[in-house]
Amino acid sequence: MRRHRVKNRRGERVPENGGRFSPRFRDGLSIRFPRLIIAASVLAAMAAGVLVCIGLAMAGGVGPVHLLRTIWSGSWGSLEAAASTSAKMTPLLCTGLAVAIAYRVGLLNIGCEGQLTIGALVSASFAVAAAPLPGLLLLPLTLISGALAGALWALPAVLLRQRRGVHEVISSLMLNYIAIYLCSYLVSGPLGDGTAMGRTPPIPAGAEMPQILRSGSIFLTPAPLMALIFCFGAYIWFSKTVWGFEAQAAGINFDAAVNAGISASKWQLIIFLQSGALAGLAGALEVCAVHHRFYRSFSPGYGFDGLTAAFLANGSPEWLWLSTLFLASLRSSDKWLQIELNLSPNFILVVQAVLLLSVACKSRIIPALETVFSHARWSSPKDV
Amino acid sequence: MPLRRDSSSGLPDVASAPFIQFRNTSKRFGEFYANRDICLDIGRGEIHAIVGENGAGKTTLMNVLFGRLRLDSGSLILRGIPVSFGSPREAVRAGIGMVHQDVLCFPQLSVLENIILGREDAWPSFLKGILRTGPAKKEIHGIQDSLGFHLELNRLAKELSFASRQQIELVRILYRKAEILILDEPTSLLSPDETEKFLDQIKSIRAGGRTVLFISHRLVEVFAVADRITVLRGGRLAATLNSGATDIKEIARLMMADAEPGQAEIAEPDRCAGPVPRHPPLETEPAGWAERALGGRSSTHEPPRKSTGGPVGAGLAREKRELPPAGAGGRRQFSFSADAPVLELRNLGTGPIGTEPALRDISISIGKGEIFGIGGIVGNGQRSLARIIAGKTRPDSGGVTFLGEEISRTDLKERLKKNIRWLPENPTEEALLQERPLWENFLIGRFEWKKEFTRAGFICKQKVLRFSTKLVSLEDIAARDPLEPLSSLSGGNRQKVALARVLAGSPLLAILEQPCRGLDLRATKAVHDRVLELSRSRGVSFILISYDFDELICLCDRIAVIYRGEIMGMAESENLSREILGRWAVGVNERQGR
Repeated sequence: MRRHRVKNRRGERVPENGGRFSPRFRDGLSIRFPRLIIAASVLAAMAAGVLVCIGLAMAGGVGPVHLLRTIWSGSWGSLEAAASTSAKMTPLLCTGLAVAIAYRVGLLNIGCEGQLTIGALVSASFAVAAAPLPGLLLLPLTLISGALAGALWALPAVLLRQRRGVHEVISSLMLNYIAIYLCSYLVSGPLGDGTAMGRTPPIPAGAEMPQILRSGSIFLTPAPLMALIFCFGAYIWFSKTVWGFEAQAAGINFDAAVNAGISASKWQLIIFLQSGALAGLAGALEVCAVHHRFYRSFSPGYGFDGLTAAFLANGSPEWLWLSTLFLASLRSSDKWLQIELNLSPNFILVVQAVLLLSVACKSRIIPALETVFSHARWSSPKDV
Repeated sequence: MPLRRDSSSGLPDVASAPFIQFRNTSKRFGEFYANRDICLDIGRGEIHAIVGENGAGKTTLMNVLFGRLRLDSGSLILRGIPVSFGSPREAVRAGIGMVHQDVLCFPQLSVLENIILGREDAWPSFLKGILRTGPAKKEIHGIQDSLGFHLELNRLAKELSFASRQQIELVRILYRKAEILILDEPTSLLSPDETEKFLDQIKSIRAGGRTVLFISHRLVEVFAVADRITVLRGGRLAATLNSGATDIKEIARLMMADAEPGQAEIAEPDRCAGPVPRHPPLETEPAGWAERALGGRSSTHEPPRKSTGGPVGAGLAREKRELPPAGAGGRRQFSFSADAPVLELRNLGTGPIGTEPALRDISISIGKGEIFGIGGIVGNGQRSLARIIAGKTRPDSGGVTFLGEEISRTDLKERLKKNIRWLPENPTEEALLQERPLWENFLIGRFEWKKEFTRAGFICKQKVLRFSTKLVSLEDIAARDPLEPLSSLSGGNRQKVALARVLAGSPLLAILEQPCRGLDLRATKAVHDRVLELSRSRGVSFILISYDFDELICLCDRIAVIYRGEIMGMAESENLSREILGRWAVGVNERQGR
């Protein structure tokens, strides 16, 4: 028997916890486990998407088991495949996180592709120019230069939004093309290596990411680990700290946040710049860990895949590893699909699009899931 | 305003040939009757004004006629035939046109295109589908001549003033051969000159045998044009009077009064329940009532109105007097006009904000523990004033002093730190996070909590939840748990959440915009008690913005009424009645000669 010590304004004694320990299970589920229900809904959406894709493949004459086995062996079946998949995860994690944190403060950063490209070019050129620096200094500085360049490229979009009301989707999207063509020009001219290949000179060995595992031509760098740490940090920051709470409030209801005394614009600016920096960092990591130089049409769409990754994970940094794992697996198995099953690599793009569409429908899935859970046998009977 | 009453044209014979008849029409929204048993006959060729307080059901009545709403019961008879419009389209076909409060027109189209839209002519035979404007132009010129309009048909609508756009709308309605024109507060956004012209135009429209239904809050204008006036109150018809046989005072009294002889059934249980003695008719009052009301302090020899049985709020007013130590000199132990006001506004002025008019020369000083009411009709500048005091908007001129410190240049955040709190009018949009749990909604914007509930920037969830649970119980919010998202609560409970946040901690000044909006009787009373308790025992000052005069009179120490961005009148609430406030709210203040 609990003692009711608190009185409400009418003088009635009420349980201090407001009945917290006796929730009705039926509608308590999404309250008590908000993250769980979201994750479940995303997974359900992904499963639905996978089913559609299997249907598509079957229409193309490929059995479902065969298809899934090929995707698996193409992405994780061998050491080489696993290494290349994990390498593909790195930029996706970074750009996905970039999109996710901007989305948390109510902005949509479509400009990751451009920020990544600029970040890659700047870091590569910086590493070449600063070659005499010792390795211990050169690598961090190279990464930072890439991040700074990305942030700088994101700045016009957010400033235009805040000062002039230009929607950041439009401006950041346009900045993508400016960045890609600008870099294409620079790398063919002033920053190129003098050949007609449209690439920078290779970065000095000191700026290359150390390889923690190596067997033959396969190597693994700490870059994916770094990206994962960033994701985890963002999760902690947004869900546990005061600042994250305030920044999120700005994203949920800008007016309410301002009226509550939160510097909503400031938070939006800071987070959007960080978003740009993360995308730039993705480019720098690609340069330092994988390609060791910048070349024309550098990114195979990592910036846009970041959007997909973020939305598959429902914009939560803590689930980003799952969605990028999924996307990177698909990406690295596309050649296998062609070789083994004679499916066009574009099939992967279709799969991604279908997944995105089904995840976009998750707002319908959450209530459905709650209904399913509430009618399950193990739910407590409805009390008053 | 040099408006003359024009009664030269004889009144149409209403009784013999009612053109539009409302027969016991009712319209309900949920439990709330917006219109209840309205019986109203409107004759052909009449200018019929419909007046009433906010929420009296004027717009509902017109929307029923215009086919935007369907009747719940009763019938609508047009030209002797019962009709039931399913959509405005059918109403337009039946010859009804409506000019909305916020004029709807296409800014990128020319005046001509705006007018003919919906009744375009096309060439016959093989040119079918190509717009033909010749005949339309001729017809429009004819309409313009008859009304004395001078619209250039080729100009774009966006280049025109608001008044001209309104003319476009009128011409459009006439071009569609409307016989009944519904004007919903057409003058609310016009300047005085434009208003005068507009009223003349209405008369010339009537001269063509058309019927005009005219909704307005401005009684002066109503009397300048209307043949008859219908007063709605609380969704019911209070009276229909010939404008020649009545005056502004009577109409204002009808709009505000609680009960009238012969209309006892109107006295619905409202929040100021209890025996409501009828207010003595205005005519019997001494001539200097306005002076007395304004200079309340100088006429202390007069018995306070409430002790003689004021017109309002018997229930709550009584309770208010019973509240904390009333002291020998009544409930006023503090002197707010004296040396140390908490908040002082000096000659405050701004430009127009949104749809609200410019504020001019607002000077108010508020004492410690005072409850200061600001009344008036919606959109006369109350919201702008609240925003300025809260620090959301900066005034163009004048100063704001808080506890002797000039704060007119500080922003909202700093004022929050000084414990100036603000409850915006629409908390759901302006103060709360819909999809987030309750505890976040309690804590957003509370600055003390940075120390209290955090450690090195991290939120101590346990402490926060304990605090929030306590607040949920204390404020009687119908939620099981502070983890519940706000969106699962009802509107009234959301309001409680917003209010709890504003009043929690140690506020010094709280600006409450319609704090009891959407609250039921008990919750309203709880809020009122809370406000009184905080102000009397803890010395919190309140600025209460409400459109409900009863609430203001029940609760406030002093009340100011804003009309078109200016303070129309200010006095201690003991010397005020609903009628006086009502007159101030429509811009009539005998003392100031308006």
